[in-house]
Formats: sequence, structure tokens, C-alpha cells
Amino acid sequence: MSLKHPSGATSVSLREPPTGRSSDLRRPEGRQRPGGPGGEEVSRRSFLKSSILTVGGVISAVLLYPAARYFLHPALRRRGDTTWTQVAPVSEIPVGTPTFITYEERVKDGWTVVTLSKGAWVLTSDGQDFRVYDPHCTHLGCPYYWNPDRGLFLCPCHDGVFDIQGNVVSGPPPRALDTMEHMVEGGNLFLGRTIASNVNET
Amino acid sequence: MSTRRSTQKTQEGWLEERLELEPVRAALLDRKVPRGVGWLHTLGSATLVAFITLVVTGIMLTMNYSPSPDHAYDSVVFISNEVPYGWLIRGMHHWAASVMVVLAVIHGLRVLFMGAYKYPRELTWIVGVLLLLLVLSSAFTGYLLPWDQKAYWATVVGTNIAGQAPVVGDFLRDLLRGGDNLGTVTLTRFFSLHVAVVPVLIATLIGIHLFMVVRQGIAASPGRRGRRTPASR
Repeated sequence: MSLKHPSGATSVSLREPPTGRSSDLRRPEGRQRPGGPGGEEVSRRSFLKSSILTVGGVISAVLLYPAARYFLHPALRRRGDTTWTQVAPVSEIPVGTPTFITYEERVKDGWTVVTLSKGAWVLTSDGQDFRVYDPHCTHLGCPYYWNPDRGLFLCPCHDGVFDIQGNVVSGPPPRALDTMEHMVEGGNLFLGRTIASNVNET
Repeated sequence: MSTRRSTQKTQEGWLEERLELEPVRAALLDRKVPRGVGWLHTLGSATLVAFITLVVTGIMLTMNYSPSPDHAYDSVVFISNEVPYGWLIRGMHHWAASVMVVLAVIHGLRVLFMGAYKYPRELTWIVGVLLLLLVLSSAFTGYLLPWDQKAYWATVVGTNIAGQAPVVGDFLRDLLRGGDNLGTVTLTRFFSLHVAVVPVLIATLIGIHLFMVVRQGIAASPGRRGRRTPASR
């Protein structure tokens, strides 16, 4: 049966299945049935459909891979080696009391290099071994300060309190103060990355 | 409303029961086409594929591009050299842009020489012409964004051409440039047009254009229309 197009042209004579049920369109009536690997005959329609879906799927997968890499790359970076930033001569760091030391760090930011103003709490009992704390409160990141009268680190945002060892005394902070990688070379203190603390020793 | 039980796979039946999408699928995929259609009739769809490519790659580019004179060029270099597959995304955007312009023009010429713009398809043609103008605007505004020598001077020349128009020339030129000379404001204006304004207009008009094409059907090739009545499609 061939169908007449309203323009007068006739279209290819594939028998038109009854409308309504999409299942019927998958199995057009006639000798040919869509087949599978069982060796039955495969209709032109179903063969073309599977070929198009397969080839389209392969093309999409090939395109999706670089697109995914492009979009996800900031989350998939591996941490490289530490870059050390020179912070202060050891001789200038007071012994016995925590000191807030400010320094500048040049960091690659996209296509630019930015200069960040940073700080850290540094304490030493002998001028040889150091404890360096990241200045962000472990609760939500506010900068905390050392209160010499009470001998404690206090956070003004939500009243978090840490002792000189960095442990949480009271308040909402979930863990002890984070420390920072540090080393001494040539009489100078160098700082690296922040190391998150994972134990709260009370 | 269909009350039959869904007999096929669960998901298909679930959606079909609620939305009755079968007529939509049939309208889009079981369209009748006249005899004599060939590769020339694929140009419109090809243009659409180019557009989709441009939108997707364009969105990805805007994640790393900075539209300020201080950063535009460096951000483009950053994309090309440092972002994983950035060179590929930018390259595809560049070539798809040229491809889309070429395809749109040839598609328009095809319609013109086959007389498919005639009744009842006049509106489709008008929308198509608007689409072509929008595509060219997109190409022009996008060209400036790398803010390199080629981009800068091409825009100087292009806006000067606009300035040649009688009466409104100078006004148009200054409007495009955002002032007397090309500067920061030009770049940001062009970025806004290229990313926020023109693509939305193109997408909307494509929707209208395609709706009419599907609704009216593909025009029969010239020579086969002899006895077509005015009321038929």
C-alpha cells in the first residue's frame, strides 16, 4: 500500500501500522519481523535504528571524554610537591609565646600569578623546634587570636577555644587546630601546606 | 486518555501513560517527505547540529574566559595551553562557527532555488533570514573576544563599515563600539551580546522555524508540484 502525500507525490510503500500503540510500530506487520541474534530476519527499520543508536553512542562517548576532563579538571588535580615560602628569620621569632607572623605568597591562579597576604601562628619553646598553626578556626574558618591572659586561642565568631597545643577546649570546633608544614633552612623558617588535624585530643 | 496497561518496559510505559508522547514522536520521526528529497535537504539539520556544538563548547569556554582587556587574551591562551582538552573545545568552537555560517547560507540558497519559501512557507523564510542575520552577528561579536591584533582590527574595520551607513552610520558605529574607540566597554558589550543575547534569540527562532517546518512538512521539489492545490501542504 502506498500513501499519497497531499502534494500529490507518493511516498515509499512501507506499510503503515495502526496508530496509537507504540508497540505496534516496533513490529510492522508483514513478512519481516525485527530480529535478534536468533537468526530471524531483521527489518530495515530496526537495523537502521540500532545502527544509528550505536554509532551515535560511540560518537557521544568520544566527545564526552574530553568535555568531562575539561569540566572536571579542578576537582581531579593531584597535589604536587610542596612549594616552600620563606617567612621569617628564626632569630626574629619570639620564644615561649605564640606569635602571628605575616608573609606574602605568590600563587599561580589560572593564567595569572597572585600575591596573597597570609599569616600563621608560630610558637617555639627553644628556637629550634616549631609548632605552626594554620590561622583558620577549624569550625568555619574565621581567624582566631591568642589571648595571653587566659593562655588560650579564642575564636570571635562562635566562641571556639583552643589550648596552646591546639586542642579544642570548648565551643563548636570539630577538631584541633590544623598545623602547617614547616622547615628551617639557612636560619630561615619556611612554610608549606596546611595539614588538617584529624584527632581531637582532650 | 489511554487506559491500557503498559505492556512494554516499565519506564517507557510510565512516561507514555502520563504524557501520551506517541503523537509527538510520530510527528517528529514519522514525517512524510516528498519524493526527490536528498542531501540538500539535510542542510538545515546540519546547521542545527553546528549550533548545538557552538552552545555546548561556548558554555565550556565561558568557564575559563575573562572578558576584560587585561585578561581576555591571557585567558584564551590559558584555555588553549593549560586546560585539559581546552585546545579541542576552543578549536571545535572556532570551526563550528565557520561551518554554521557556511551551512546556513547554503541552506538558505537551497530553499531559495527550490522555491520552498513560497506559500504557505513565507513565514518560515522570514524567520530564516532573521536567523541568518543573528548567526552573522554572533560570528562578528565572537570574533573580538580573544582580544588579539586580528580581533581588534577586524572589529575596527567592521564597525567602520557600519559607520558607512547613511544618516545613522555614526550612531550605529558608536553604539556598537560603546564609544568613540574600541575599548573595555566594547569587549564587555560584545561578550554580553555573544553569550547572553544572540544565542537566546537564535534558539527561540530556531524553535519557531522548526515548528513551522514540522507542521507544514517539507516542500516538494520543483517540478513535482504541478497539480498541488493551494490548500494542500
